[in-house]
Amino acid sequence: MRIKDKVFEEDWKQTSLTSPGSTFIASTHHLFGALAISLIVIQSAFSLNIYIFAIWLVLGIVILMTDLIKGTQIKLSSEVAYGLFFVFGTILSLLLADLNSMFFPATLGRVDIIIYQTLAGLCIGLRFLSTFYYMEYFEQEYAFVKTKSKYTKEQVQQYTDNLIKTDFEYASPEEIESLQKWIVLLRRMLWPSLILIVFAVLAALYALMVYYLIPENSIAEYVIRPSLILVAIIYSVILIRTNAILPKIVDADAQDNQQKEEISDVEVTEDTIENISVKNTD
Amino acid sequence: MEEERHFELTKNGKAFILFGSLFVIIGLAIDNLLLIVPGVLFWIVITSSFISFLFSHTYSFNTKMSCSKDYMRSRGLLAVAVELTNPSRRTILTKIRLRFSFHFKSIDKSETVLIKLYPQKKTKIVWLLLANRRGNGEIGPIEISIGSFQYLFRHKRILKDTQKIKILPQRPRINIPWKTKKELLLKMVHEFAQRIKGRGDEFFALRDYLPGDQLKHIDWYATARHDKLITREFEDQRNLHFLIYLDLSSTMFGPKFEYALSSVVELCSLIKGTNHDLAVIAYSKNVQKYIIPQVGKHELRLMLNLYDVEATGVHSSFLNAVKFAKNNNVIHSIAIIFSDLEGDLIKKLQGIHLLQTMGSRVVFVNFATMHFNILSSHDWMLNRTEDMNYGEILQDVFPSIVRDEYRTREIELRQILYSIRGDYVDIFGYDDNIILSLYRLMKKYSPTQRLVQEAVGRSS
Repeated sequence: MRIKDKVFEEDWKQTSLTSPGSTFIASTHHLFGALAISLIVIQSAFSLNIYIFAIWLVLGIVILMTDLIKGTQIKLSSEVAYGLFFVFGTILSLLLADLNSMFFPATLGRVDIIIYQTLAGLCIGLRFLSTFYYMEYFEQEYAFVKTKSKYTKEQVQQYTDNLIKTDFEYASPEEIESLQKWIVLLRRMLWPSLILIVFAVLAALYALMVYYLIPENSIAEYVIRPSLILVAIIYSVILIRTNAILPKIVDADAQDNQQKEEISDVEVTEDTIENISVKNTD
Repeated sequence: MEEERHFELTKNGKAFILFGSLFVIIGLAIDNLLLIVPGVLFWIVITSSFISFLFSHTYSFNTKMSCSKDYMRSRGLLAVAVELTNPSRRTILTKIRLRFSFHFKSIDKSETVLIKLYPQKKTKIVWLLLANRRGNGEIGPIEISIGSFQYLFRHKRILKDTQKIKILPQRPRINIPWKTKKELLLKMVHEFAQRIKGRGDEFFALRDYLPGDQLKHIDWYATARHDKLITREFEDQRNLHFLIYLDLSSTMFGPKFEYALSSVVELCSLIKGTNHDLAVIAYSKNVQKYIIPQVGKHELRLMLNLYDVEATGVHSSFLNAVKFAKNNNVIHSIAIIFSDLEGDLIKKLQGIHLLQTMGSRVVFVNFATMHFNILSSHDWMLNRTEDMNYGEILQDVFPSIVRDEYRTREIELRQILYSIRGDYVDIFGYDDNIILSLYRLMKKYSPTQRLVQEAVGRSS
């Protein structure tokens, strides 16, 4: 490489955009992750079981370290690993549970457990949401040449000036603001969440009905929970099947449209023939 | 414009369906809200992408893409305009991505743009691209992503419109005055062309007047001196037939080849401005291309013929190229070989004697490896070149054995060339120029220089 080339490369160097928004989102992502794990660690400490506490502490440290090392490089695959850690920790703490456990209200009250778990779940959910947001709007290819030096600015300016009043006159439509992006993301989730809420309400109604029909607590436990699990399984099967069916539906729609067009062509021709024949008879 | 519809659940999407279900089912089984809440969130996200797909799969767009140029020089700028119209009645939020080949870089705007398309309205986006590599560039296709969560459920329209753009090498840097070029050609004609008498402008000899000779050609001074009619003879107008051999072997690969190519083009443009003939043979193992530049004297047009040539990854065999010239009766009085001293020298020079038997003069142009590849590493560029002499860098980088090897090769080549009355030209790096080097070579043949050389020879 010549020195001239080196200067050229420096002038037209490709930079990737790091906006303050992206770092903010990344930091909130890490913050919610840390919050979730700290909540669980506190809960496990209250459970007074040393094994469970040790497991969650180790998992927490591992998760924090990986977050710190990765920094702003947020990937969905690493999020999947994050989720797996939680499943792993839960299963282990279930296996090691004796009289003192974080899931049974022996040491902690039932309401406390629900509050802790809901808060931690919400934190995890928010972390995933921020991941989705980041992947949607910041992770995409934001690498381009940013004109910094006087020479490059002049070059680009001259070129764009020469393009004025041609087909290639420089034009860039307004891009969407960060707040609007959030609104778009959440609005997309409005209908599905409503549908799910309806599902949940129906499931709860069914559960209550069963509870009133069979008022004994133990039987209700055996009926309500399995029925909810059944609903969950059915819903997941529905999701998987929709994935397979959706493209076919669209193809069928397209074919139907084509057929309709063909039929309408035929009808038109028949009409015209009739008209012509009528005219002839007249 | 041809449109390809693209919708599929990605690997991530499948994983998220599984995880959602797993989280919810396990959470319900062990009565743990910690797993249920994120699981339900996964479900919502996946369901939302399905629902948004159901609403938006009928969208279609009218798109028009155009580029400001068909061909351009490397390091030039190019504007690409994309016009999008949304024929539906709803405002659509889309992510539009212009794909282009590795020859280009986008300036001041990323490849992906996130915009709102208003109903029944045209939206125009213009990308400025910098071409940073020579070759066949390609602009397109345009990708329009509809809906959020694209990395879970990919829903795209790919508009298969591509435009091919030829990116030619850069403009050569040194401007040589036309006077010098003309002088160079004159000297070459003087030295290399065979003298044949005929109807030209230049004086050839005097002879006795014969009946039928033109009266205007009688030399009256000579007639007076010799007391008989004496007439002038003229030389035939002399054309040189240049034949340029361009080596495409693996040893030429890299920036050196680019420079060799631009040198060839420069020489071609010089020759095409005159009445001399020209042909280019690009060879590696066999002859890859045989080009007779026919259009105008414009350099760019010449380049359009030559730009397809690329260095190949094999050793070249010069003999095959010479055989090709011989079998096809390519007339040439000067053969200029653009090559280097790397690799198997015997294979590179085999057949050079044939050129002499075909009656042409040989000029071997060596693109000296040492001077071309020296500044390739970044460390040298940034840290150490400023306070160092170029000679010192050469000494530092190339061990003395390598330099000795090059020297012996050069001597060997010079000996071979001497035996066939050929000439040797070195191109020392990028600041050297082929025309100036040839000019320097031709000065060696000038009468005064020859007298000096002879005097030096006699004294020694």
